[in-house]
Amino acid sequence: MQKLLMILILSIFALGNEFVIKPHHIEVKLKCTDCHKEANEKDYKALDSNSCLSCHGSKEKLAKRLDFLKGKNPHNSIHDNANLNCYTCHNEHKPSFNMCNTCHNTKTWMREIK
Amino acid sequence: MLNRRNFIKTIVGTSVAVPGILNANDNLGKDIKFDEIADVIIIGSGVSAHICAAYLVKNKIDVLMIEKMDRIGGNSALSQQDFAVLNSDLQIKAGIKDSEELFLNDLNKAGAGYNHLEHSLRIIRNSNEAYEFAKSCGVKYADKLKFLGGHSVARSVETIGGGGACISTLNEFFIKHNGKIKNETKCDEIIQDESGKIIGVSVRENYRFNRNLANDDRENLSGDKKHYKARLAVVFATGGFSRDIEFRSIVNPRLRLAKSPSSLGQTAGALKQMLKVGAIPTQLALSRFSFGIPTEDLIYGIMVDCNAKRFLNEDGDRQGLSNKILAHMEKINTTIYPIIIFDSTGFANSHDPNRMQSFITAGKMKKFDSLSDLANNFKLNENDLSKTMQDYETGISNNKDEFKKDLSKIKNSSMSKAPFYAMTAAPGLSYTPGGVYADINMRVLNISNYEPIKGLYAIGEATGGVHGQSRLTSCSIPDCMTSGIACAKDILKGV
Ligand SMILES: Cc1cc2nc3c(=O)[nH]c(=O)nc-3n(C[C@H](O)[C@H](O)[C@H](O)COP(=O)(O)OP(=O)(O)OC[C@H]3O[C@@H](n4cnc5c(N)ncnc54)[C@H](O)[C@@H]3O)c2cc1C
Repeated sequence: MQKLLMILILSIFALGNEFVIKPHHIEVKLKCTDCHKEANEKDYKALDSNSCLSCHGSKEKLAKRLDFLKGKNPHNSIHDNANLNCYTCHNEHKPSFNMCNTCHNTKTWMREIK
Repeated sequence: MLNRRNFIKTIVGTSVAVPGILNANDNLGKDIKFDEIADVIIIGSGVSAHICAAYLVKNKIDVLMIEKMDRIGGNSALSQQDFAVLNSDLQIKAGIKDSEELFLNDLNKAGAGYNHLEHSLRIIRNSNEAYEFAKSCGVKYADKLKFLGGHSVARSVETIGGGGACISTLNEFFIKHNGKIKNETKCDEIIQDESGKIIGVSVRENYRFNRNLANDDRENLSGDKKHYKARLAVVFATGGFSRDIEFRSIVNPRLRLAKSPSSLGQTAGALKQMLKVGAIPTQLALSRFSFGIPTEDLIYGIMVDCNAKRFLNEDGDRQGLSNKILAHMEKINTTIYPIIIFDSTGFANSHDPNRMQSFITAGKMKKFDSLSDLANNFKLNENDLSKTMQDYETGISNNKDEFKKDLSKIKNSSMSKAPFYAMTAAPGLSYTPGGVYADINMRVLNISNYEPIKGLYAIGEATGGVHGQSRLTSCSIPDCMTSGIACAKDILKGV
């Protein structure tokens, strides 16, 4: 907990209140410029999925890792297969959003979303 | 609609478009520079859009489909896609005697006479053609028929893999036949020429829907503005507005507090665009609810509000119960949905115990060893709840229910034998029957003269007046598919 708090405080310190980075990304020492390629900070735009996948591999690879969830794999669901963009659920600078949860009670099979 | 100054001048005599080939009209972008051009532009990517698109590309028409969301398939991708078909191969194989009259009777009964007859017949007569066409595109159906509520015979086919599989199969077919699709591209406006003919749309590419906005259609400014030209037609396959709390509360205040299991993008923006060019709004106040639990089992339990009090006869259909629940919530001024409670006798009386068990596994329904656990879990006052349950039991022993429930039907259910089972009773608005009025070729009619608005079509849930008061189960899919094909055929007539 304390470690987490430290990380959080550090991240706020480093980036200003507006653009907090998620703890798991701080842990691997990600900087703004690792994702945002624009030269000027004020030109930073929302990222597309390819930016995430440049580290995380392909959507298929990510889907495979959750194969054990059988029919309830959020990265390869019966509704969308592996077609959704990362940001439909995952946010970096604000809390993420579990879209499955808008219809299903995901507590019984899914952890909190990072 | 773009204002007059932006209208494009058309040259008389060039309105017959040649698919796949630029005709003279295309060079007329004096005021508007078109960034894309296609024979047909389809707005939306659900089952109605995909069936229409598949039919068109199969006939060599050049189609561009756009979808505002990241997700392809709207509500169609969430749907089970049970599909009522008259005289399907499965009905014939099973020797089931069905007829136009029987099916029409069922539709009329549900529609309570609000349904436009010509559309009921459009669905009935073309359902098998649509089903066969979907199969020819690769959509798979289970080798059994479903006998669903409100239908007088078994006539519903079951889509293998549900809507997700259906949409991805149709999408593959569409792409293979040179169809083009852009998601996260939102249609904002319909573009007309001077004669009023629809010639294209203004859109935003790289649009990102924002679920946190009270009204995404009005407030979301994301994306890059572009203009797309349609040589032959613009088709609105934009679905319903069940997630648009603001709009649905205006057309029917009763719908304000409903929950919705629909896809997040089900808003009224597209409907408003059609109204702006003169479409006729039809039956917008109607609703269709889903309930999360088969309502025929509710008679074995009780439903209590947030004050732990009963307020209705639990014996009813989902439409009636949903209306009563929402009315009661308005009356006692709460946003908290009521709770359905069974004791172990009532739970055991369910007509489908396996299904009830599956609700528990899914976490939808919870099992409680004591009344206080239940009360705690749902934040109900335990004493009040206990009194409500006692009153109910007293009613049973006196054979007189406070809310006039027919106690002879409850199969000795009680309200005192632990364990207890409970879940939230949230009326879910999953379908909005209202929309724009179209003729049976799915041409959108103009409110000023009831003539078709040239070049504009609407299909699927985006249209209104098709099902009337209550849409019969498994009849949206045949509506979406037959309207998609009717629209495609009408467009092909003009080629
Ligand atoms: C959970 C659930 C289960 C169901 N089960 C059944 C069933 O078993 N049988 C049955 O018959 N019916 C069922 N239904 C109803 C049926 O699935 C839908 O009515 C049907 O799929 C609607 O299809 P559609 O093509 O008209 O619209 P949709 O599939 O909703 O597609 C409309 C699309 O248009 C897009 N769009 C809207 N506005 C714009 C814009 N301005 N620009 C770009 N894109 C836009 C939307 O984002 C959406 O993707 C169910 C519905 C739900 C929610």
